[in-house]
Amino acid sequence: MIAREALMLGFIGGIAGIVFGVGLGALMAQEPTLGAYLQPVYTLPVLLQAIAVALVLGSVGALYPAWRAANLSPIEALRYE
Amino acid sequence: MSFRIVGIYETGQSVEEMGAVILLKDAQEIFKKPRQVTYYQIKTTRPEMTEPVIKEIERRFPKLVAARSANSMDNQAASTLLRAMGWFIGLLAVIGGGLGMMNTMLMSVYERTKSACCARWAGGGGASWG
Repeated sequence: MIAREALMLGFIGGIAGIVFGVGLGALMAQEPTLGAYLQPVYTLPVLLQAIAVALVLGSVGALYPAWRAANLSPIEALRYE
Repeated sequence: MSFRIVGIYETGQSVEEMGAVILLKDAQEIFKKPRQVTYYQIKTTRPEMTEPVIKEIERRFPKLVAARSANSMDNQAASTLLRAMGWFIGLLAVIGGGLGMMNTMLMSVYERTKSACCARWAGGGGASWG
């Protein structure tokens, strides 16, 4: 469950990152000096790579929490009372 | 040293359009590099001669770097620096993102410890929480 949630979070984070990046790129292109040197180019492989990295990060980041959740002892609940 | 603008021209290359053309002698004096040239642009009359010309220049002058204009930006120190900065920022983002994700999920586990344990008591499988 934790791993699934982390994957979902990673996917949403990846999409949000792409939207933020494209926005920032458009903003940067408005600036005359920087915009003249660097023109952002968005290709499908790059966008897919970004989502893949976000998914991998999500799953790697969730490994320990998921392992912890799977090995919770019922006694632990008493400590949270 | 003062200059008089004698004309404006456009090349379509943003890097060139942001610069100015002055005499080589003046440039050497301003940058204090007498008898030195850092960059030559050579135009071949026949496109198929470009590669042989590059090879010949590199054979005759091993210390020079010859490249097609499309690839010349790759050899610039600025683009190397930008590339290195990109990798560094990317690495930082990956480490930060990984740690952030781990923290978020750990907090999620801590907050739901009670319900997870209750579910375990009631017979819910441990692996389903992982």
